[in-house]
Amino acid sequence: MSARKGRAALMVFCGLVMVLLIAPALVAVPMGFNGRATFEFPPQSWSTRWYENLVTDVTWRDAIVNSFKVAAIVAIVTTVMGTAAAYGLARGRFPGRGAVMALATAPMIIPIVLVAIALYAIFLEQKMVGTLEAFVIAHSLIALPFVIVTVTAGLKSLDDGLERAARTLGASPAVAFFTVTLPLLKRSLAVAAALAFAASFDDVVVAIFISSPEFQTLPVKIYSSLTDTVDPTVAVASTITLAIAALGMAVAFVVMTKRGVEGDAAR
Amino acid sequence: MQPDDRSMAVGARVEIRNLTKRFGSVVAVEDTSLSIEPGQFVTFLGPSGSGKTTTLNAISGFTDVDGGEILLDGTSILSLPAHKRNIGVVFQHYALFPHMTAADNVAFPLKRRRVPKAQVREKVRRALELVHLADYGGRLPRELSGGQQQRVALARALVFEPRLLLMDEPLAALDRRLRDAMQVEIKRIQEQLGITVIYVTHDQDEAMTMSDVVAIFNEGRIAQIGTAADLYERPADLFVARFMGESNRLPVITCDEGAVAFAAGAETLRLRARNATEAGVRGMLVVRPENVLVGRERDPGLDSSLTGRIGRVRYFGAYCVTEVVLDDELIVRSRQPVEVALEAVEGDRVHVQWNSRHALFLRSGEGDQLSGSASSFLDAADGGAEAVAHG
Amino acid sequence: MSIVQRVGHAGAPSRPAGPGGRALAALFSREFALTIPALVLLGFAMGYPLATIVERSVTDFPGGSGAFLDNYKWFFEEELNRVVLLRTFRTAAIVTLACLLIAYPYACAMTVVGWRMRLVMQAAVVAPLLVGTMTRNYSWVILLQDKGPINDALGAVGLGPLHMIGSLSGVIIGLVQISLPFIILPLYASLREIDGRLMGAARSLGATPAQAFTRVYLPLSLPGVVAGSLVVFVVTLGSFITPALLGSPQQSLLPQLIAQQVNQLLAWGRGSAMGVILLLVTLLLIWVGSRASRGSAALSGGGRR
Ligand SMILES: Nc1ncnc2c1ncn2[C@@H]1O[C@H](COP(=O)(O)OP(=O)(O)OP(=O)(O)O)[C@@H](O)[C@H]1O
Ligand SMILES: [Mg+2]
Repeated sequence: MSARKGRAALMVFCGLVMVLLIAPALVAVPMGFNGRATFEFPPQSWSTRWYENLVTDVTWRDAIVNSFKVAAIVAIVTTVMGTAAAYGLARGRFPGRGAVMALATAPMIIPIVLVAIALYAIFLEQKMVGTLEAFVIAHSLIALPFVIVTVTAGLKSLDDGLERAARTLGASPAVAFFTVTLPLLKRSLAVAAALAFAASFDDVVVAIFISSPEFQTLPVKIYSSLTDTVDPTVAVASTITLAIAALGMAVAFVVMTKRGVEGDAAR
Repeated sequence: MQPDDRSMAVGARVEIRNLTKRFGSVVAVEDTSLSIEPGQFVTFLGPSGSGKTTTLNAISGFTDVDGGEILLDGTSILSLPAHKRNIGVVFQHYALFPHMTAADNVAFPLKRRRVPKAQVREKVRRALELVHLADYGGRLPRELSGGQQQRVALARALVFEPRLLLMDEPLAALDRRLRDAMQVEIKRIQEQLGITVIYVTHDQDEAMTMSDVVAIFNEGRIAQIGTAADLYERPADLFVARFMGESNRLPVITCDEGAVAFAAGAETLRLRARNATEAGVRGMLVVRPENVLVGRERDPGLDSSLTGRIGRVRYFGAYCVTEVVLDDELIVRSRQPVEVALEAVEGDRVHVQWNSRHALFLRSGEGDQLSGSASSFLDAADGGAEAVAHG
Repeated sequence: MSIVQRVGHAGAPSRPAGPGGRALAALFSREFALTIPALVLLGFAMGYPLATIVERSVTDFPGGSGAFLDNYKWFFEEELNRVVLLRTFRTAAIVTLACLLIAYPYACAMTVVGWRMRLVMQAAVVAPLLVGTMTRNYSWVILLQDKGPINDALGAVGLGPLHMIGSLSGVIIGLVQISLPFIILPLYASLREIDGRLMGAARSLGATPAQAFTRVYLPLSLPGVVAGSLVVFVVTLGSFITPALLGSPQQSLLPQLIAQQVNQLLAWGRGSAMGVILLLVTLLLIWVGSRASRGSAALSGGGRR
């Protein structure tokens, strides 16, 4: 086999992998326009009534609202909390720093089922199952490592001489942080907040355990409607998350290409 | 920032008393005292790890000290946090804020001090003018060259009119040509403003040309402090002699006031030396290469002389360096203008000679390691010194 | 951010302090204070719940009473549990191997293509992560069903309909596709670091392309292989949603069994014991994996220098 043929074969293989990675996600789009309540693919008839259903059916609407509410609160809480912790860990010299760092990233490696039953046990005990607070606490735990890892990486790439310089110029540690470090961390913070939002918005396992019929998030609603019915509203919900993801990527793309222009604007 | 409105703002008087700083078991600065007059340009010079940066950090407030006192115009600053010390600092890697324009960088310390907006603009303009960057205020740091960035950093450290400016190897990241230009620039600004400057460098020439006073650091202590000429011509000890410029060092032992004994092969010679007092002290006779003349004949004007063979001759354009190998392989170097230097062939027997005015005796400290050959020289000289003394 | 501001103003006065005083001051430093909110969250949402689980695993018994390690004894004595544990490991191993076989050539290709193509390939890896777990699982439910598009395609080329959904094979297919990004990303990161000239150097020293690959490239890529495989293996061990939707109760995996104990049988002690076992296995794997990758990193580090 010649090198050229080998390369061609490799690229064909990669093309197939790309299809495998992306195509399954797109299945939801036609399914959302299914005329009948079946899993038939591709659908035999078309309709938009499931879109109407998503907005008119209270359980779907509430689930969506809950998901956004929880994810937004989690994004804010963990970004603030995680940034503070990452900063303390990056700049501090206190004993046990390594242990705190390991602890802060531990939620990433504990099997999610165990996290779920452990939190469920506590929330049952505290009668918090199916509350906004329970979701915020649980999802903050899941999202925190993402924030800490992201912000720590951002801080590492930052010259800590800048803060010292600010100090010699008359800025207190707090002012130096807010006028120098924070603006330079902007991009890391945006990424961290987005990851925290996504981690919360995407969680199914913990949410299944700690939700109640009165308080569900979107993934829980999708999960239960998938196991109970063949309601294509599921596909509509999936299509919407797909659209949000695509939008997010587009925004990220625009921001990245605009970065060059930003420098000029700052003059 | 004009000369006229700064003429009354003089530099600060800085006093460091018995400063000590340890990092675990490492003593970075040990019981160091130093007093700097207002408006002086003081350079810290010394090998890597000798405590220069640590001393500077103690002044700027970035390290807690373990003992001692630092006074600015007679008041202790040790209890003040870094941001309240009002000391300008210029860093080796500029440390310009990358998200701010040059003008915003310079305005930063003024904003921290809540200076009114109109004044900020005026002061920033003048500070940038001072460093010849009046038209570059709108640029971001990454759009400036290294030299320009360092000048912005200088303007930023000066704009709030500190009375003391600290600079830790500010030019080390620049190339030779730019460095020379910046040396002139920094010196001009310092003289114009009358500000006190403490400057750290590894570059001897930089230290000599810029400073009023040079402090030589060695292992956390100041080995000697004085003008460049003091240090060069009257080094206090062998460390300073070795560190400042080149020197010939001959192992000797004092025999009486103003004279030392040197073992030249089988015979022991008596040489005159400044600084030799009581007899029987081991040390080195230090002579700078430019004071050593090589000749076939004895020069009657030079009162000290040894003989040896010509070794390597190296040509440097303006001058050349001739090595003379004494008996027992000790080498003495002579540096003379090309027209004065002897035209000699390797192996020729010659006299190396100097005026005893330029010969300095320095005792060897406890830390000074003598090579094996040097100590055998001394042992030979030991016997010789007695012979000379008694003979 | 209020904490930053409050403790920030405390400043750090530089005054002489004894070594003991300094250690104490460092413990209660501003920097440590900044980590306190996160530590409180970790304590309340992770430490306390996990402690509760561990406690229940040794105090809560189905009959009401039992001896200290009864729940653990039960786990290893019950035939079904052993079968499920083994099945869980086997599934995780198969998924990891399949992911590795797909990801390795893909990540290699990413290091040799032009930057435009690389961006496309990278986007293809990241996009599924953005789409969301439930959407991807839903898609596989549709695709793998008995009368779904995959079986249609198989029928068109004359292959009988395969029963994939509700079987372990369906779970494996879904898990492989869902896990792929987790292995491609670390693998690519480590392959990118390999100096391409080393292969040329090996060739110039007389190695065949195959030898250059197995003797030079492969050993250097091991840290990435270990890291990526570890992530996939650990995530698969704990996966719950995909087996629940694509698998069958008859072929359940350990996480499902845990959920069942807690949710349906209300046997908190047994469920907790199983959870603790799963955690210990996971930690053990991570420990072994990190030692292995450190070993191979040292090896490849020597090659790189
Ligand atoms: N943060 C620190 N922790 C531990 N030891 C330190 C620290 N800072 C400096 N030291 C030690 O203190 C001594 C003096 O260091 P310092 O940085 O003052 O030297 P320096 O004269 O500035 O050297 P250079 O010319 O290389 O910059 C060195 O032995 C150094 O290793
Ligand atoms: Mg230094």
